[in-house]
Amino acid sequence: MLRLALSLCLGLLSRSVPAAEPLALTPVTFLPHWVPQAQFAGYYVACERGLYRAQGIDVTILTGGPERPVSAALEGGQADVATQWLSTAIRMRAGGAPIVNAAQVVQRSSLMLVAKRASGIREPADLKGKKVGVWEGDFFLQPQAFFKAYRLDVRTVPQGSSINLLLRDGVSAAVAMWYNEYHTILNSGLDADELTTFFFADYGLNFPEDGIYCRAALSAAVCRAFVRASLDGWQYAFAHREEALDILMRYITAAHLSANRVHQRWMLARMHDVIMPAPVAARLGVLQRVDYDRVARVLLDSGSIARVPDFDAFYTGAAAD
Amino acid sequence: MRNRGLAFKLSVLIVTGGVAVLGLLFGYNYRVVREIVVKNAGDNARAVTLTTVNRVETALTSTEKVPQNLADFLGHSTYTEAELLKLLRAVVKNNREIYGATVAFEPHAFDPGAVYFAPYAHRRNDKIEVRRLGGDTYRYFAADWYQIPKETDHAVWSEPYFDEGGGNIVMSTYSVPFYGVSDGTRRFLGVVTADVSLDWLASIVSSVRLSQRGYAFIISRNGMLVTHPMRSLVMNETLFGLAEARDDPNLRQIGRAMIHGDAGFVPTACIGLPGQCWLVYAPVPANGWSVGAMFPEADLLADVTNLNRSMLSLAGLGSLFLLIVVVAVARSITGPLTGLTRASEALARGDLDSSLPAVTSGDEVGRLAAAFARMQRDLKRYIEDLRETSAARERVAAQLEEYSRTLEQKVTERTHELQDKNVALESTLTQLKSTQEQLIVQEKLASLGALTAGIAHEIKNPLNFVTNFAQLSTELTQELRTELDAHAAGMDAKTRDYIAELLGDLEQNVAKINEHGKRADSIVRGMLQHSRGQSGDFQPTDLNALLQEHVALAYHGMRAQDATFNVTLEADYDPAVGQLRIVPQDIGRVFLNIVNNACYAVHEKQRRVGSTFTPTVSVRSQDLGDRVEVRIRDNGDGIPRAVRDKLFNPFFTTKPAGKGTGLGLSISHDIVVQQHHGELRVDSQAGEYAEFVIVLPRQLP
Repeated sequence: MLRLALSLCLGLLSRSVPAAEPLALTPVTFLPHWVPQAQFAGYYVACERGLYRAQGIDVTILTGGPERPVSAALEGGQADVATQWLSTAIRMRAGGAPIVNAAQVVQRSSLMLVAKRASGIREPADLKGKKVGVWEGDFFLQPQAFFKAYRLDVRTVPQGSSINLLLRDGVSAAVAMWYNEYHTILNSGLDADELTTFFFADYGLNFPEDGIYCRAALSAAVCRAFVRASLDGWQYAFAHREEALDILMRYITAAHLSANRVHQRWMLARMHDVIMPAPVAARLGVLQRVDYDRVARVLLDSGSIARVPDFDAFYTGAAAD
Repeated sequence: MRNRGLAFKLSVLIVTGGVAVLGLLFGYNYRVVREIVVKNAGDNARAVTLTTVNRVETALTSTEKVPQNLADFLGHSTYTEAELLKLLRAVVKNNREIYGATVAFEPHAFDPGAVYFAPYAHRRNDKIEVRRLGGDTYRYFAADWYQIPKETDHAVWSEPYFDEGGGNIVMSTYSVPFYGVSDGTRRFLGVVTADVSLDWLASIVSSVRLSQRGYAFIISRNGMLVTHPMRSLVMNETLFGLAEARDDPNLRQIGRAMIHGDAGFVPTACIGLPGQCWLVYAPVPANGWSVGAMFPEADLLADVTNLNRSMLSLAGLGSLFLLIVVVAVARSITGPLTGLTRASEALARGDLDSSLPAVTSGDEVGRLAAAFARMQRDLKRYIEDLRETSAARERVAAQLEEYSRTLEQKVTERTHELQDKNVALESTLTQLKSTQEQLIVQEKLASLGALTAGIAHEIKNPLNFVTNFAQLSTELTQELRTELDAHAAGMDAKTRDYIAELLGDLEQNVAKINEHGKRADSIVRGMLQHSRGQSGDFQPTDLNALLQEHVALAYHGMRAQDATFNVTLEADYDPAVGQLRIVPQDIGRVFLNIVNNACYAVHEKQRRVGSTFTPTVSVRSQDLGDRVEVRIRDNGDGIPRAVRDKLFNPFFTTKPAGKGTGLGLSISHDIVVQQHHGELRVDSQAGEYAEFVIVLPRQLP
């Protein structure tokens, strides 16, 4: 029930941007793969702070969401640049979609399983025979590999965007994003020590998530400009979190979404944790071959792809050292 | 404080005490009133909350009936799509509180050819429209309203949500699962839902009036604020989010209690209001939501605060009055004390006459002042006494000092005196011994004197005959001469001359007999006088004659004792000396003694030296005007200086024993100096000469 919205940062929120622009800017349309939230703070901040214009591009941010899938937008030309999960992107690329990974922004997977400790679940084996709420599609890759790895015979229940199924004990465990649903659970009155969590990243299933993808047809220079400004936007957002939240809240409100600053603050903090996890902080935006291979292998094993796309063709961002 | 005045301390202590008591009373009163007010407000809020809960509960449960009945019907009946839609329309139409209703089926459960089958009847512009839910863009199987009742087998009220299509109203959906039986097993077919607008909820809650600013609110089972005066919070914040934003663990605990279905009355930081609030909460059993009633403590305590304010003003005025009274009392006490203190200080400086403050009261201060005055008087008297005593003591001390200073000197003087006396005594003792011996000698002499007097008296008579007849003979001679002259013619010249010559010789002899008779008489008379020891009377005396007489007497005395004695007498008498009023016997004795000694001295020297020595005694008198000087000099051995000092001591003599009494010069000195107020001194050169000088005044003083 999300309303589609076209968000031109220039038109909608033009606070800190100089009125006069001496150079002709290259228009770029950007589609975040979900609704406005701190998951995409870096891009909104880059837009608001004029970082894209500084790179010579005039970015229009589309409002993402389930009704506007990235694959269609990129292929249909509605968007020049989009964010997407690595797993999804590999699958798209394997399916022939003309997209390239220009930067792997999120390094660490936020996907997790959450269970109430009251249900007796302490370790993966305790999930055996239980109902587990899952999301479908690429969100299911990691749980599926997890259940397989631990030989868990679980009854999966496709869950919606809310976490209420878990809260009302419709399921014993549910997938959640660390930066989103997990916090919603906490702020629905469950304490952290009342919960058991399984981060897939901790079980050999670290799927780097949000990356920046450009249409193959898009000028590589423009794509790189977008990446540079976006990464700058992220760093600015992490360095000026409240300002970033101010910007973000305006976008959320404009999208008629529930503008919960506390929640967005949590999300921004977690985005920092997954974009710049301590060991790889110096490699902001770099896609590691090992990560690529891991995700591709799971996709291959699950039959989602028939063959692994060529990494070098797939990844056009800064080389990993 | 320590050095402040008594009045200050007293005032501070009493006023502090008074204020403290007032403060305690005030605090106690405030506390009790506050508790009462809060309790009453809590009771009231609890009642209001329960009323609200009941209203909500009633509304919800009455709403629940419709989908429940429908679900029951669907589970037990067969129906066509048209009948179903008709039913749905009726449900919505007949139940004003129901905004919309759905019967959502499991895939293929109603229409084997359709995955989604969920007709939805809802109000739109006072009409009831029916549309079908489900499709690729709305997979209702994963919606809470469908999935939760399905997975939990329970009817459930959904979390509130915005119905974006229905004018942005907050909705909650009551979903009832319904089941069919096929092949003997109970099979989940779908859910019947009733969407309820929560506007009425808001209106129920907003009608609640608790206090000036108090309000009621409702949270969902997730703690989401469903109704709240702050619209920005509604459907956007959970209590837990608020707690996180405010870092308020207490609020999180309250929220957990609320969503767990507890009821309570707790203090908390206000939500949407400043300050502290009280929160009454109670669960809504139907959907597990919770109604809260929050009211600021300040509202409850507004009246109490007003009361406090006036009480504080009264307390302030009372304290001020207390302060004035206490200061006045303290002053009345400390005023005289200050005066007394000043007086004491003056007293301490020595001003005993400092005036005392007039205190007429009979209290402690009055008695103190009186005692002080007494003390001042006594002190004054005492100090005067002390002053006198110390003056006396100073005098004594000065005397003592003087005495001690002079004592030594005096002791020394006395010691000297004593030593002198001692010496004198020793000398006297020696003299006494000597005198004793001399007295023996003198006694002998006295007996000799008496003998001499007897002899002299016997001699005197015949001597008178001698002199008398010599006198007669002189007269007879005179007569004879006369006769001769008468008969001279008759006789030849030669015979007559012879006879005249004889007659002349006769005359001279008789004259000499007379003269020497008289002289002998004089000597005897002197002897008598001397032996009698009596002094004669002062009478004019021819000093030269007296001197001449006693020089001769001495000479003859010496000659009489020693025939070999010879001396050359040189005499030089000044005729100007004339008559002197003296005691001739005594002065004569003086001359006699001195000439005697001179003769003795030269005689001794001559015996020792021999014929080569010419013993000479020279006597000389000289008129000195008012005085007369007599010098008697010898060329003997002189007088040694040591002897010279003792010369005039009684019984001192250098003569061999028996030759002198040692009294001669002593008596002489007494006669000249004591009796005649003259001088007797000696001048001598040892081995050469000795000269005695006698000076006699012409007039006795």
